[in-house]
Amino acid sequence: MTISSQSNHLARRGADIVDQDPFLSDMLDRRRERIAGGPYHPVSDAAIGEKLQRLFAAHGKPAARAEDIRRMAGGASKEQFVFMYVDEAAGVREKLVLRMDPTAGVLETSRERECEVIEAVNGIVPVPAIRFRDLDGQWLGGTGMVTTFVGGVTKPSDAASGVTGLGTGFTPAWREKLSPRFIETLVKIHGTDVATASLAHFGVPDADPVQAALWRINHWARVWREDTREPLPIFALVESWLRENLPTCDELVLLHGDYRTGNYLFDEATAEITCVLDWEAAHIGDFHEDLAWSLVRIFGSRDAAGAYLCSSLMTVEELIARYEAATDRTVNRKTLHFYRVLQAWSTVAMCASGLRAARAHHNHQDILLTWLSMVTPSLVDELADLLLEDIR
Amino acid sequence: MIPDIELRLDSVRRALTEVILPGIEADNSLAIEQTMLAIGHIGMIIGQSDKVAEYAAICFADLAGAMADLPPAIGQDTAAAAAALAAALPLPEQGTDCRAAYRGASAALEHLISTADGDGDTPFRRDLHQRVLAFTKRQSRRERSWFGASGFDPDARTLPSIAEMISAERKTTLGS
Repeated sequence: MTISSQSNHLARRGADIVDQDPFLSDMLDRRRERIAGGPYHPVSDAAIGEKLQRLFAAHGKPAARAEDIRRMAGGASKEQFVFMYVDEAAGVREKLVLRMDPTAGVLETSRERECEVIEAVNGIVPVPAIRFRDLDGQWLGGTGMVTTFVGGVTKPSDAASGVTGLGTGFTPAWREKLSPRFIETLVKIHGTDVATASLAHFGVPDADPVQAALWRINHWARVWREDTREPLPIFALVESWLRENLPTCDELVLLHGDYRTGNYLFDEATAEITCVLDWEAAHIGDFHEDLAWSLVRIFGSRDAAGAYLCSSLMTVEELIARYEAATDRTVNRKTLHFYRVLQAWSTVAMCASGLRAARAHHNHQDILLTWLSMVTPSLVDELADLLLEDIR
Repeated sequence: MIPDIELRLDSVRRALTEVILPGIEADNSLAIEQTMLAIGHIGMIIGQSDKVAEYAAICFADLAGAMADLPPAIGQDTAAAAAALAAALPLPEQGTDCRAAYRGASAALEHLISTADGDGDTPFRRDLHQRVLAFTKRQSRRERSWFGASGFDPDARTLPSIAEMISAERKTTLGS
């Protein structure tokens, strides 16, 4: 291909708004049908007990029951409960977690994909084990999954943080202990063999080297178009920039999709990562995308000297150096820049989804969704900085 | 004698803080989190409520100034979108709530950006993008102050308070 025809091809691909991850596209189609319904109401603890009992019975455990059911806070949109699973006949008592989907939230995801990816990485990185699943909402009234409860903390007991782990601050000693583990775990996730892993509901963007980036743009552009009620000129400008700057990807890897401080647990005594959480956004794509996610400004903080720490752990250069040292990959700065823009932009679209869900009362945490949307000005500021950097 | 909105909100905040929150069982973490968010929201609304109209006027005036006198566009669709934006920019009459005007002008600008991707010429698009980015930097700084109490901004300490921001913008943007 000549340079000219290659640039024509890239321009055509960038303008293609139809080529989407088929699984995510179907998911958004299903969402459209679901949100045509009325408001979502939180489920009572007693009702959850009954629903769980039906779920257990359907999975061959008619004598099992849930005791000591308690709601969990945290998380941006799922209904989460912790409970004691009791099956006296089998002599089992186990602490479990139920994650159930309300009608809508900040992020439309699939429990089917989440279950698949958790099973695919089990043994590669620490994850909860899946005990029960209801992938069509037959027993729980909405899709959901039940996993083991894993001990650990998202922040040291003496550290401050906001909702969903945003703004967590670590002391230098904690940063030194956690930074290598953070990278080591990410590298293991990216090392998952996607060719042999059982990921039947994951699209593989291998039609050409720009499809990985294009699928992400088209997914979030559609989410924005369907969910926003407020015009935001920078969103259109960034979409235009992204379509004109598609990077190529020569290695497709498994991405966590939401890898940042707040989404892993660690042992306060040993600083070992005990569990990687929130796999719902996992997909197959370019490793730069996961790196860029942990660089989104709102997921970080500044140290005492004012240096920005991504995921509140390390500087951008440290992140790149540690990742390169732990892999045989070279971080392409231009590609990383593209994905930083894409990630901040996609988070703005998520805020639009959250506000739409709150307006329609499609979630049990409207107040959290409206609160979270206040990250938008920081994201927009970051987008302007990144694009101004590009045109200078 | 009737209570004003700020007093009523402050009363709700105090009830939530001093009576309702301590009355929630310690293991009901969702109710505790939502009550704390309610207290946070009310505190922010109290800080913003008497400044909403002036804030909207500032945002609109800056957007109108930033998009005034765009260079002529060659493409037909882009020229039509630019004309629609120009029609959305005149300042509303004094005393009018500018929120709808700001939303209308933003929608027209968003449409222009997308349309210019189709038949906009390169110099026009470059000029438009630079104006949008420069405006966005100013607007996001204002909004970061406006929502600063949410605690999400890692650089919150570099931002002016809402009162300081409004006072400065009154001179620089509204010229009053």
